[in-house]
Amino acid sequence: MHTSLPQKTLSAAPKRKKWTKGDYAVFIILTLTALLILMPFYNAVVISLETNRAYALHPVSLYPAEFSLKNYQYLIDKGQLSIGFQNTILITISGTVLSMAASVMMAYAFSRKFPGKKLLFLLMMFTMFFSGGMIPTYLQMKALKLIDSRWGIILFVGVSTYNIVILKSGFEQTPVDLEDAAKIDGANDLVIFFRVMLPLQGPLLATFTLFTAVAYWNEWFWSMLLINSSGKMTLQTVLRSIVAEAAAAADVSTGEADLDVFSQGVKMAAVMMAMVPIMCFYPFLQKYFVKGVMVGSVKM
Amino acid sequence: MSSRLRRLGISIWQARYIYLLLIPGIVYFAVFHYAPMSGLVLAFKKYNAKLGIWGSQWVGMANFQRIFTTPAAVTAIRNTLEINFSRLLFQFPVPILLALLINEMRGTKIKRVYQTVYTFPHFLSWVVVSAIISNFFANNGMINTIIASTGGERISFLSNAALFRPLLYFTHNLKEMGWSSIIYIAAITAIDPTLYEAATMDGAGRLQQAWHVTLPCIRATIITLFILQVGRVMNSGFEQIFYMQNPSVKGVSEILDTYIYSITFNAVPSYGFSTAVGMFKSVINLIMLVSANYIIKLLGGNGLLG
Amino acid sequence: MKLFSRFLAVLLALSLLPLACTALAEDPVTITIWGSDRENMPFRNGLMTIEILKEKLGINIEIISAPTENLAEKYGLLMASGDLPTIVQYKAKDLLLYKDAWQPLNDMINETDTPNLWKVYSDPEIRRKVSDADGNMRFIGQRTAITAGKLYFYRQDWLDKLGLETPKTVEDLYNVFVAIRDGDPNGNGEKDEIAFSVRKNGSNNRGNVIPFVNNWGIAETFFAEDGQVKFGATDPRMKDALEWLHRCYEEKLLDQEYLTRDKTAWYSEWTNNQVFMSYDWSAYIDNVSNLFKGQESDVHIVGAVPPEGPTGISETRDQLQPITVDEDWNAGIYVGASAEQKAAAMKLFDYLYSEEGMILLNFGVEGEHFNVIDGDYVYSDLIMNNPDGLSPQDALRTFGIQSMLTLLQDARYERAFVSDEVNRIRDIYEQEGHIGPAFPTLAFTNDEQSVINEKYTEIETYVNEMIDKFIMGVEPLDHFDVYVAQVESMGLQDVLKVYQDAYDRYMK
Repeated sequence: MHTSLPQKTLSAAPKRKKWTKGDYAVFIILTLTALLILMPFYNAVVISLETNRAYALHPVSLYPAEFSLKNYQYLIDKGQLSIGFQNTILITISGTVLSMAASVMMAYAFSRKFPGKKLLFLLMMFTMFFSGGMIPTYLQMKALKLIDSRWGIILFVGVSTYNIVILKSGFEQTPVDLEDAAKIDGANDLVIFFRVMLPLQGPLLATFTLFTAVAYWNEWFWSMLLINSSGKMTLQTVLRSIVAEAAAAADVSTGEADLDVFSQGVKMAAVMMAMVPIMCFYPFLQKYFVKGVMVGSVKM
Repeated sequence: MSSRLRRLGISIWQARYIYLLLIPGIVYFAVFHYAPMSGLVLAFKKYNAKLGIWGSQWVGMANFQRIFTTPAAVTAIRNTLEINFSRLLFQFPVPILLALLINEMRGTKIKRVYQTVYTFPHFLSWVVVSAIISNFFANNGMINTIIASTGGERISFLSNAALFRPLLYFTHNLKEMGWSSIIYIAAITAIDPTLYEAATMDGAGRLQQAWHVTLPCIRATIITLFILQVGRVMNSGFEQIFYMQNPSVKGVSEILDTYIYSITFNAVPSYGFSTAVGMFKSVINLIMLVSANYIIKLLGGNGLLG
Repeated sequence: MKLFSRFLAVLLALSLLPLACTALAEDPVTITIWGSDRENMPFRNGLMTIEILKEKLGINIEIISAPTENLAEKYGLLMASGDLPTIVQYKAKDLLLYKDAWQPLNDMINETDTPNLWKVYSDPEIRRKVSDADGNMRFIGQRTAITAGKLYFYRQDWLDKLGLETPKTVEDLYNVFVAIRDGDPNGNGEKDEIAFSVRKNGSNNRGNVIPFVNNWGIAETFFAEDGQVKFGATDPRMKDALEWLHRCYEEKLLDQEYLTRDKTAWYSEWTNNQVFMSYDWSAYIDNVSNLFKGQESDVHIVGAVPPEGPTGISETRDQLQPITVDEDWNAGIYVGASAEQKAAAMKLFDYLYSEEGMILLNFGVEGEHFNVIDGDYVYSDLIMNNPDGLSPQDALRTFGIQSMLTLLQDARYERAFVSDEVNRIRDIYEQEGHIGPAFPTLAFTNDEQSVINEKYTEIETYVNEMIDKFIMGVEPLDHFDVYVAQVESMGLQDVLKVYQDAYDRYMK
């Protein structure tokens, strides 16, 4: 496929002045598609911003019938969600730094020639399709004393074989002359890696740093399995237990007026709060994300 | 012989810093991926909590035989295949269509905004998206309110076995179509503009241009992605189904991944059996991927395995 | 990008904060207890009751909290890891899936060492409830003070408004349902009433709908009749019961969404004035009534006895037992624990079964959480008007009162928190025979268990699916015989035999 990245314009169609019928048709279809995506989110925003009473009376409205920030207030007061935020931020930052370091070093190494490269690469690729499974992996975590530890998530979740493969092809595309010039200057592989390659691949690294950070941010499965203490819960596990009302389902004692039922408003407010960080950064970072996909497409 | 060894020794020494860079990665894969694989012996054992993995009794291939004599496991295999092949039909073409449409759109600025809207759901977790979708399609949700206000009958989308799979595809499209379309847009951008000029000269309209110029030009991309998708036929999106599933649609939505999960945790514990099912899935996966890779190579692509 | 890098820098600094936690100091004997923990029902180190127990018994107790939300997963992982704490608290039937893991307690419960436990477990009726197939007792039970857990309730004001009489039989009830649907008792001019609506409940989500079948003299799954174990789901009477349920569903009298209706949605149906009747835990009579509080309305929700089936049976079987084996707070002692740890664990349980321990776990510390006034236990202001604005139950639990530990929920506690209506109807259920015979939780040998694993797991899945299909009419009831034949071919007789053997052992 194509090795050069598209530069500026995304439109290949020849420029025309006036909007034709076709232009309008395209515009309308795309607008409807965008609305289709936005409506569920907007609906959730409205529900999160109104009182439970208003929601019970009119489950669907275009604007909050009785505006209230009580749902958000409730979540903030309750504290679980903010614990989730703290832990997830902690895990995302440290995890991204560590796993990017390991991935980039490995990707660079695989872009060079060395004895045993083919075997090691195949062994790495093999893990993409074949794994020991949930229980054996958990037992390994236990042996490493990573149960109920944020380190378990930090160390395990972030390294992605797929990312390494793409980073590798990124490194492979750097001009050979640069490396040769450095070698003539007496630089060893480490120096080349840190002084030449890393600065050269800045944008690519930025992109994959973001991908990795999003992966950590959204991680649910292993945090659910590994973390026990409520003080170490991550955002997605807290969110999931609010949304799924799993806690209420376990509540079956007799005289029990179980009061921890989350109203639809609280659920939607929780979802909104978890989305906010991504929503805030996304529009500014979009072009980096897109670049990542383009580099990925180069590989195939 | 000795000179070959010597040469090998020299090239290893020359690559010493490369090996240094490999260490963290190798440790990671060895510790978190290869060490747990030893646990796969469980697939050939009957697990006993007191004796542990290594002490438990060998049962040969019994756990694998059980896969094919257990109706629920067979259903899960069938559902996995059915859902994934349907995904090829109902999900795969959508980003291509979207890319074609975006390509035809006028106005760079508004196009940017739209693309932001299409792509951002990709970065949200399934926890978030499934909660929002469930709210949207609930019995008192927006869709049903619209249906009811136009005089229709409310539809229980989430618990209707016939509608659940379409809902899966629809939700997946909502979340991923924008993101998946980027790769096609990139391919379209790289098409030589003179091809369009020539087509315009020949009097081709926009639809004809899309059909006769754009699509053929991005065919290679489409085929590659299609084959890759076929190669992933045993993975049908655990988290999406896990969050949206409920008992009334279990029959049509239980896939291998959710099945493994439920036999591990929710039923009578049988780690040997659940490990066997997992291993079965891995093997099929591997076969599918190696074949997909082979086909891509046949078609002149790079292949995924380097 | 600049903004982003600054953000990164700040977070990076945060990430350097220590992640490790502190270790606990070693005291005389340390026992570890694994159990369910959640925000408003904490089971953690540092709870007041735990601290008091530590001091009183001279034992060091270390709690291993497992989040309630994922308790099944955590239990599975705990057992798979093979490295168990001294005490594991979970559902008895799940504990007994790993028989080898638990210390048989028969010799450890005796009159001299554990007099309080002995008082309860020397009663053969209680003893058989906690005994395993081989006669060994492998867990300490969670006890309940009352038996009427779930009951029916409806809106008396609607009955009055439409001039309907209290329904007595299932056919009466059907007619009342139809009248509610057509009579527009909420007066909004729309036919939006749902005569019978429930929230999803139980492992198959229809836990609050299926108890109707009890009035046909059967249970949903296993039940005993004249000493013989039968399977309700394929019983001929099930067909009749399903016919009634299907009729209700078809006529839109039964909530069309009963399988997915969550509590919030169910509550909003109530507040929308759509629901007539429901079935749930008794406290829901109060919960639902409270939804209408502060509104000007004549909503009047009352408890109701079960409608009589064709043979005059009016009962519910899905009720509480003196030992609640299918709840999370039964406790097994790890067989691999040291002798000192096992002894300390028994000492703890014996104390919890004593009057003193019961008061501590139900009411807390006198003068602080409760006072005795004229012999009655009355919660203090700290609990009833909590300064932090917590509900009484939540306030209790922040101290670890009414929390875990093979708790006996005291009847005085139970009565203190519910309305007179709930106490009235609960007494009627208990005293007038509306609580049907419960099928005991049986203990199986390993061989029996593997028959169940292999055959019944499949049957259960199939039956679960089919019952809903019959109710919803996806599968016509004419196919009931085909369905029965299918279940038979899946090995029902083998399963029944296993159940019969276990049942005979239990009754012996």
